[in-house]
Amino acid sequence: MIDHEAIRELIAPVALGAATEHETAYVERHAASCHDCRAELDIMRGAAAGLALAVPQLDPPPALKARVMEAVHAQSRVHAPAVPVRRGRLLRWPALAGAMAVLMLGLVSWNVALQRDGSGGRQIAVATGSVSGRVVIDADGAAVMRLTGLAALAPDEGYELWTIRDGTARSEGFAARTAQGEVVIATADLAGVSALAITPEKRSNTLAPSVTPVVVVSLA
Amino acid sequence: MVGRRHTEDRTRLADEDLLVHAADGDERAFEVLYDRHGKVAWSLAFRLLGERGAAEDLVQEAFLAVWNGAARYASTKGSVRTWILSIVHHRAVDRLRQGAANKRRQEALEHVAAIEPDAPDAADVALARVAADEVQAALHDVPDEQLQVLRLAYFGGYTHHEIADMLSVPLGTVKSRMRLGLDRVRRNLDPGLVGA
Repeated sequence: MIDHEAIRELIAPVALGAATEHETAYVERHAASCHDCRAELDIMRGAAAGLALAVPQLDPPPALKARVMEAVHAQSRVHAPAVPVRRGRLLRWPALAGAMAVLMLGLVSWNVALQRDGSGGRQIAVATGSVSGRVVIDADGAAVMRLTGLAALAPDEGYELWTIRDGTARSEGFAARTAQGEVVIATADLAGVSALAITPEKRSNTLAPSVTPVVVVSLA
Repeated sequence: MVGRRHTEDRTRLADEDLLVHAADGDERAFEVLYDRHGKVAWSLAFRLLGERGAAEDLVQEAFLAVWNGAARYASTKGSVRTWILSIVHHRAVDRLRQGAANKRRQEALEHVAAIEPDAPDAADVALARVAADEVQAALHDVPDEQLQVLRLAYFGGYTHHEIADMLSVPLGTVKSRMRLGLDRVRRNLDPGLVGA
């Protein structure tokens, strides 16, 4: 039985981001079907956002906008239709699939550590050779991969993210490189995705991975 | 900017309409959204993380999330600005809780006040130093004990359980102070600023 008063007490902590993952999920589930609590939660979230306006308003670094738009542009590049592995148009894909299978079986010394965060999402830490980073998957199923230690590429090349569904790779666009040298890329839809892979590619390639990935993260 | 040609002046559109266009791949519409909300997003990120580089990364990541999630935005969940700020705040708190800013959190704990950003240049330092005063002015009639928990929660990234422990007050009291404090903030706000 739902304790309505207990839920109402949690609305302010949830709005402030100060509730636990379990509490937040509890309130959100209830608010999905309770009009009054939904309305109060939304009002409180609006008030919490008001706190953001109470801090000194600083102009962002001018270069930040260019970085954001560059990242968006990289993500908005053509999302190629999925390419079945066996029908891969690039000859090296079978070898890539084999390499990924090995990696996913944990037969190489990658350090992949999974942990849950406090907001209904999870994190996967990745470390291999000089490359390290993490994948942050939020409660909505969107993922952001941040990696450091990846080699610099030619101007017409970039690190491309691939989502793997049923052995099929699909391009999720090219990553952006931050001022600190991190490679960052996000994807909004992980439904059915068994793994994420990163390959260095010519920016004209959105069909299928052409080389063995430098990073593979199993989501299984 | 590569993409579709748009003859309509995107700057004249409401945020919600811009998001619809962004969800359809309209980078110009998204750029207008950044122009409108990038400053407050940056200010919040910088305030919470206290480091320029980390704040830049966070804002970039948050706006990427906005771009990727534009189709999932629902106006019933508040204004676009509230939504964007929620994404920024949510991710910043994640960072705080991951321990990257443990030192600053400890300082916040010790001073039970807003985090003082570790600004990299004189202008930022000067602006940051007035932060507490500005927050105080904007929240002038919020009782101190309510302001205290709002600051610890929103700017410090602490859970209500942690706040109850550090202040040695019952959990119910913390939740009550949060609710009363937020309610006071809501009444002080210009509804046009964040929507609800």
